[in-house]
Amino acid sequence: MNKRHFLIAAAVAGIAAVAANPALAAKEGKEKCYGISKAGANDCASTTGSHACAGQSKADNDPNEWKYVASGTCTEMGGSLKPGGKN
Amino acid sequence: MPEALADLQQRFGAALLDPDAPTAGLFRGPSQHTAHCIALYRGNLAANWGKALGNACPVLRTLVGEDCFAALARQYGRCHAHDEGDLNTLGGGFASFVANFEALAPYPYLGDVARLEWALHRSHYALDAPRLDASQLAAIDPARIETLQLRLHPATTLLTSPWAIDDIWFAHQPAADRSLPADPRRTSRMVVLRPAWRATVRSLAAGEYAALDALSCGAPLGEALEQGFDTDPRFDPATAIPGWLAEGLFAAPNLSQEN
Amino acid sequence: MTIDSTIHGFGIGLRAEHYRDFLDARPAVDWLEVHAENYFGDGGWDLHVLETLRADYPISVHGVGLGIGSASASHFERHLDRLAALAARVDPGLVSEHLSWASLPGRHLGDLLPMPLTPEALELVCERVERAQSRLGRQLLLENVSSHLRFEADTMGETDFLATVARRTGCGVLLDVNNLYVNQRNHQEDARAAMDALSKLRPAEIHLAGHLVTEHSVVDHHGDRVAEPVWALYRDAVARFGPVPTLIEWDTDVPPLAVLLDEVERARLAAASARPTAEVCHA
Repeated sequence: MNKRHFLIAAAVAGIAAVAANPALAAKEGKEKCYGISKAGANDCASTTGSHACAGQSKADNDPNEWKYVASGTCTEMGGSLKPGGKN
Repeated sequence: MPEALADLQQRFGAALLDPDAPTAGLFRGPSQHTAHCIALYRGNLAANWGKALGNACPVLRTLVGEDCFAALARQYGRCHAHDEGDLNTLGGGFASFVANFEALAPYPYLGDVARLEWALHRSHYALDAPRLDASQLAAIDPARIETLQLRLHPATTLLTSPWAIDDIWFAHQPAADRSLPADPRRTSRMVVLRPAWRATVRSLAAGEYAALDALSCGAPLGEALEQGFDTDPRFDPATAIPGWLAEGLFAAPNLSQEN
Repeated sequence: MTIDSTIHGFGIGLRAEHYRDFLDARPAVDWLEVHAENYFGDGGWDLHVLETLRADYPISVHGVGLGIGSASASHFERHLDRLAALAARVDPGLVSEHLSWASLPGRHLGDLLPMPLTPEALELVCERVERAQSRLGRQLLLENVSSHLRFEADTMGETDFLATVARRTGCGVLLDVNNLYVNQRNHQEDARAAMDALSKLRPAEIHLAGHLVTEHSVVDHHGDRVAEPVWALYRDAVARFGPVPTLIEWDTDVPPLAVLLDEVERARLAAASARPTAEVCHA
């Protein structure tokens, strides 16, 4: 009971502090959103020849394991790990 | 009897998904030329998949590199029958696809990175529902605060992972203030939020995560705060709640239902 | 405050890369066109930008995912609902889609695939256009697409097909002049004869974009300035049909807005220099 009362009192104090000073809460209008770079994926163009040809060879249907070898920034994090655990 | 429209499209579509599917007699022109043109469409499909998934998961793309990501996107596009005409929704199953992709087993955190990025992607497009603000809470009889139920805003998602996916994500942001962890084996807890228009991530301590998780499951505020405190006694509602309100984590109560 | 939604003059396709340019100033273009599906979300930044700009520019909503000619289209009604909801929200001056197909049973392929131009396809497309117009409560425009392939089964030309659909359903024609040129190159189809097939149907809108010439095929990549032969065809189109609302599209390697505004000026000049040819399009 004491614990619950203490937590609720803290909550009420927190709420009162923000209600008394709305500036604490009013981040909303200030964000100008410069640099939101997400462009929608839908368009009506065809891709250029170089991209397009990637799908043409028969061999492309094979597993081509080398293509699945990660070669980006993940290789900087200690290589091979075992899934599912912290140890 | 001319070949039915459905059959013509079925044969064309099959050839787009499988280079070995027969197309004899389907198109005009010499077969070598038509084979090349079908390949152009096949390549366009793969490029559309790669663009749509890369748009949703830019950090994953950087993590695995362009070639690997393009191959993953093509494999996912072929294996995953997506039945929506909006490519922005293509990646709904991508995180679990990545998590279960055998060639990526040495990097078991990648699936959770994709899960985080998909939550950000969804947050970007989420409904602009009104936010719960302090005046609404302050107007509530303090005696009722304990039993109050709050709803997460549609742009808010809680996530946890056995991997340090928050650090990994932050290390790939333009203004990176965290570096890539040397060892990603660390439990992470975070909230995806959209304070105004830009979806972002905040790492959470265990107590705050437990409280928010309880609230998101419908627990009354008193019980949720207690779960937070029991998880970590450093959890302090007097500082956490103003933060939640400033970030707009909760939707405004539906007044017609509240009364 | 909302302006008159009627589309006339010269517009550009609004892309996320240029949101900031449009929000910070209001560049002088007559109207904007958006890809419908990029605004299918429940909310967020894209819809916010669109609704903000909507107060200053007439908007055209251009769908790319309805796949109106797909024999199997399990997504069709859902997609149409989304399109109708967006149209209700934005009150666009025009709503358009493509004469193309997109889906196999249970699977949307996410592309604008060329139609088999057959009587059966014509029946299906007419039915679907009527359904779409009834759901939208307004006229739909249908656009000719570029293609790398033509079906052996085809029994008519694409603009014949389009003209018949327009006459039977009352839908409008969105004439993509670049696509006519690409198809002329890819299939040895005469682009001017293709315009003849539209006869007295004046397009409600014209699209202009860049293409890429490759060894085997011309690709409609929307990644370059409008090519000279396409300008010539455009002047011919304006001479035939009179002034038609004209859009500059750019989707691949989107350049600074100034490049698009320059293309808009070139379109204005081209249209102004097009001399009307009397009685060219008598039926």
